[in-house]
Amino acid sequence: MKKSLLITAVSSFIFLVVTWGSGMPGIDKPEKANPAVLARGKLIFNDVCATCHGKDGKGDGPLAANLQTLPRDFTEGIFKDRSTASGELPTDYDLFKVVTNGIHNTAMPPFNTLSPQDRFAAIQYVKTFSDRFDKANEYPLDIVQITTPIPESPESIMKGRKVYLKVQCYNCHGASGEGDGPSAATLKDEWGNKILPVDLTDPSGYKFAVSRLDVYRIFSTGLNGTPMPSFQDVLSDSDRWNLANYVWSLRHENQFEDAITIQELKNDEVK
Amino acid sequence: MLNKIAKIFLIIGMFLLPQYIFAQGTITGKVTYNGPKPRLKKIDMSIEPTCVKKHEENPEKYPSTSEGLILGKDSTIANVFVHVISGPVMDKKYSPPDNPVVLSQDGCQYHPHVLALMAGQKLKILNEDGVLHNLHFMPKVNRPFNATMPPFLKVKYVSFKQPEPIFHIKCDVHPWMSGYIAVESNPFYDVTQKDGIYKISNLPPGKYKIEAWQENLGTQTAEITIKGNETKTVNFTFTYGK
Repeated sequence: MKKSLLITAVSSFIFLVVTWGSGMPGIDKPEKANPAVLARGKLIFNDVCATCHGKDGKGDGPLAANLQTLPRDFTEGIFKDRSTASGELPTDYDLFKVVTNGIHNTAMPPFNTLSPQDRFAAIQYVKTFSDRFDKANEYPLDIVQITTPIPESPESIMKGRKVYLKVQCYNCHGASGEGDGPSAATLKDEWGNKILPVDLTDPSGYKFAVSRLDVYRIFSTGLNGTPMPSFQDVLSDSDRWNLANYVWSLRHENQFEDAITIQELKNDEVK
Repeated sequence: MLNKIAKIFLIIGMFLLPQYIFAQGTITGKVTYNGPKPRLKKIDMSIEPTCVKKHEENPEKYPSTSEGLILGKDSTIANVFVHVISGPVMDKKYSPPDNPVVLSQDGCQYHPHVLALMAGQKLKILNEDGVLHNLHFMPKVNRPFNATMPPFLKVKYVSFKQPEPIFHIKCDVHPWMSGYIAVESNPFYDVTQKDGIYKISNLPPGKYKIEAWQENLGTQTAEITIKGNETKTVNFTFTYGK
């Protein structure tokens, strides 16, 4: 009994010494997977992913041209759905999550039929297309903290509506959240393609949010490569939760209806 | 006797030496344009009444045409970024100045349209419009970001850790808003005003290569040797369509 305790103590001490300062792989420093994993990843990528994303990861596979939402070009290292601060690379888990769950309302299906090991190998191979993942100055990644949610309530939703007007989300998402704001028609992504703001009242329009927690997260992370910025520095934590509650309520069409129009809002700005 | 002569030489040397060591040259010149008169696109700002109002009230301060090629009198070009790209100052380390460089979002345009600052120097970003702007910065070496400047946020500070070639900045809410930022490792750069004049001073003696950059007309380079306390003139002429 005593001996096993000693062994545990010694081995955990050795583990601590060995891992001390080495950091969390894929979050604190660049990490390349071992050649066997990359070889496995390449096999899976070429077999499953390359039809859309292309053999070189440029998003130019044979099926790409037929898709309404273009497949991601991996070479620039820009990813929309992340848990990291605006502009930063995704964590390995962020990529793993997208491969596992797919992206709603696009051609990206959930690949949960692949084994977790295969999905992990595929994302490690995807990381080799962009040299951003090798650069030390891209790390450590700043992971956005998700705090305790403010419960959904009429008060919180009304407060969220005020935040929506104060930050002028309506410039893109429209006065009532339908994605028809004055700037909506001119938005472009970083690849120069037209992009529309999400219609927040349409449950099937959400690509990356499956809960209000995701909505809150996107206010903090922004969506890289798109016009959607981060609000982490400008809105308090409670403001972001109230805003998330408001946006999430639009989806159920039980929103607080104040019938303000864009013209009225814009005229108020001028004064 | 010999000792005395040595002393005299030493004293003379002490006076001459700093003049050589601390010699500071200046490169200056004018950037002009040689080509057909540019037809600048008029910007339609109707989606942002606040900015339309600003432009109507003060068209002198807020020209509402594209900023792709702004000319002064005698075809001098504004917003040309001139900097040293090789020479004895490139290997040295310079600490950034304490005072920030100001980028103002005013009348739904960036003022200045082109700016340069040193790595580590603060960039003070102002929102003078009281409307939502987003700061979509797309550097390649430093970390890119897309941050928000809502009406109630008047000032925001950012800085860039590493020097990098000039990159584009934009605002997605107002698609005509466009600007450029260069991050330098040394203080030897300048951006021209409407008079087209640039000036790079305090250069130690040596052989230099300087580059002038204009967003639509590309780059030009010139080689200059600075010997001591002297001012050399290098003019650039950008041509188009010839």
